[in-house]
Amino acid sequence: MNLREFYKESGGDFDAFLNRLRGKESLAYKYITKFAQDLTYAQLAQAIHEKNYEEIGKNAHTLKGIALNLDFKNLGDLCCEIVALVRCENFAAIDAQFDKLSASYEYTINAIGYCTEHWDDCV
Amino acid sequence: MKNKKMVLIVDDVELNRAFLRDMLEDEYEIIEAANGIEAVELLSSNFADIAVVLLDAIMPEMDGFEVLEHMNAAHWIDTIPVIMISADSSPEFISKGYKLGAIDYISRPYNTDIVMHRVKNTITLYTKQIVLQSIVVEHMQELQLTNSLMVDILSTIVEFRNGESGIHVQRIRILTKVLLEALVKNYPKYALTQKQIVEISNAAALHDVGKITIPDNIINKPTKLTVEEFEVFKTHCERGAQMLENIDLNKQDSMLKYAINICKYHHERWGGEGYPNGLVADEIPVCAQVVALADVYDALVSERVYKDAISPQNAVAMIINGECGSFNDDLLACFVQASGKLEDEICKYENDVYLQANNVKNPQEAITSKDLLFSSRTVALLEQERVKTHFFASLSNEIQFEYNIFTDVLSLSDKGAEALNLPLQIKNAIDWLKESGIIAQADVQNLFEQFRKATLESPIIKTQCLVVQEGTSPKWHEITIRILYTDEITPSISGCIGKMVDIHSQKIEGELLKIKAECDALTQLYNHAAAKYKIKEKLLNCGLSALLFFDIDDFKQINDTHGHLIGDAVLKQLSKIIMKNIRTTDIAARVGGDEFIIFVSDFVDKARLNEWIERLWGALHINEDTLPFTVSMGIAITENGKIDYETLVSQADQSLYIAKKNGKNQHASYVVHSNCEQDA
Repeated sequence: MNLREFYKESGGDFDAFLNRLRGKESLAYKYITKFAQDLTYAQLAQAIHEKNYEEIGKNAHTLKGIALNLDFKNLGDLCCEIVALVRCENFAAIDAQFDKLSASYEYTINAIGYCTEHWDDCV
Repeated sequence: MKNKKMVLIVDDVELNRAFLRDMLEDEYEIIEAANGIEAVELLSSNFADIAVVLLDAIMPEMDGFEVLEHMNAAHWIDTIPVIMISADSSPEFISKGYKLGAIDYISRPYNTDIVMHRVKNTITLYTKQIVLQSIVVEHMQELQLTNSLMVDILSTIVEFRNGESGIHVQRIRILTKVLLEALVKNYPKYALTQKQIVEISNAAALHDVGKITIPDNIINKPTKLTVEEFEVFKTHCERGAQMLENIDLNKQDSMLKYAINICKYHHERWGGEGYPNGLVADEIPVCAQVVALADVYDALVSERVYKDAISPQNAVAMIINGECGSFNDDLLACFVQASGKLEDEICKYENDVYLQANNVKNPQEAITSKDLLFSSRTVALLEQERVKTHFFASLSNEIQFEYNIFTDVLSLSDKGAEALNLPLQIKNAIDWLKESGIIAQADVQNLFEQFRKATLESPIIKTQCLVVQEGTSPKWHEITIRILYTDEITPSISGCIGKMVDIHSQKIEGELLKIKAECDALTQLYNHAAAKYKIKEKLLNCGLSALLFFDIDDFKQINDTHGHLIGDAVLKQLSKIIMKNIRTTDIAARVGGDEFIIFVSDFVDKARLNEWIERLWGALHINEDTLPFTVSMGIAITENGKIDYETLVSQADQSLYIAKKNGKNQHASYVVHSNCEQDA
């Protein structure tokens, strides 16, 4: 798998992402690596566990922003749905939605883990 | 690094900040805040440097909207543009940001080009706005300055023309303000705002502007005006108002409206006895009522050409007694209440110097009030200089004067006018100088000549001349003049200042001393030393000339027989005869005892010289007043002065000896290359 395949799989477009960065692959590498280190997903998972809907909303929103910036479209859409569920206080549906999000997140982390390790082959 | 503009990025997610930093850090200096509280802290310590804020909305601790509220409260939002950044693009969310003063909105995902352009455009727009704002402020400030300066200049000119000082304008301004404030405070029906009070007080300075249309001879007449003159004088109210009405200014300007009313009605009186319209009570605008009272009070306590200053207490008493006409009772009550502290108030304001609206809030007004301070301080400084000059002039006995070439007016200092018995100001000064005969025509011409020769580098003229005053004998004066030049690229003469010092007694004394030093005390002829000096000088450049050396025959016997007094009388008589018979170019001296010399020069030929000598010889023997006496005379002649004085005297002396030897009462001439004895 390379980055383009991963992006396509995730509903995004690596070249569009690179374009927004004026084609700088080094920046793409930097941001993707940073995403793996970011704690927002962990905080979201914690809030889900605690059923702290305010925190769920905030963290989902934040993760959505990050996902959008990185053009991880599927992940971003899933975050968006959680934000919407919190806003309309449909708390019952949140857990199921979070499971989907978790799967997408894990897929993303694994994919980018592989790609950053084999960066030169993947770009 | 320092000349880069500063961008504050506020986002709780480091990754998001990194995106923006990477996009912008080549062109801007970046500072970051991870939440709202950090953002506010950075804003307060860098608010003068931050060119734009990129603000995330949803953050822990303090969110973006709260940051905006803070920025509004601190007025940072007026000068620092904020661009909202958020993943939430719902209309409610965006509009909330705009309502709180955000200028733009950037949504995720970030596009480097778009972010850079948005940031750049926002900064440019704000910079331009600030520049434009400062241009407008500067322009307004200039206008305000010009306005207040013009009011000051105009009213000060009027005052100076009235022979009053510019301080009158300031005092009227302050008195008007104090009275208006008291009126508003004590009587709510006079509902004037602080702004209106300031406008009326400033407009008050123009109350007498119409006087510039009244002829000088009426304005500055030290004695009572005739009925006709007073009628003309009274028109200054209407004329001042007309002038202001006709000026092409903003007719809606409230200060101008007040000024017009003040000009027109400041001589009206409450009971209707005023002029020009004889308005009664409330028919007179309040602004004019107040200025009228202020004007009357200041006129009483100030010294004028026609009157001395009256003490503030007496002035208040006179006004209350109705000696200056009737005034509004409310106003009089305020006046009485304030009367004890009026002079203090004036002092306070004079130090503090200008009237400002109390609630100066916006920068324009703040800056403007500084300018008011400036123009007023200029007037105050000018006044200080005027007092100083006046003081020193009054201490000195010099006649000081000032001439303005453009108005052709010569102004004299008080002492000068008094000493010369002339008015303080002389119009058409050049013609007057030529025709009045105060200085001899030749001296006037000489003065003009020196005036023409003076230059910027040597602008000082010094001359002595006789000054003629009616009824007294002419007196010598020394005149020192400093020529003044215009402040232009090619300076021209604008006038002069100068002083005249009476040096008559000094000069006369000097002349007398010189005469005394050169003259023989008894006979008033030159003494030997003076004669020797003068003859030597003549010998350097003369034609056919002769030295006559003579003495009184048997003078010792006259003294012995009749006493020295008679002897002296004879010497004096002889001197008198000599003086009477010599020409102005001749030199006559008593060189000792009864010995005299006369040097006569520049005769056309010997015949004329002999003729002259014979005439003198005859005269010396016509003596009716004293004892009869005879003289003997030796004559030495030089064709061209090429002989030294001692030789000439020696030759004449030898000839005298011959004359004596041959029996006295005769004259003998020295002949070169011949035997004197034979010749005689």
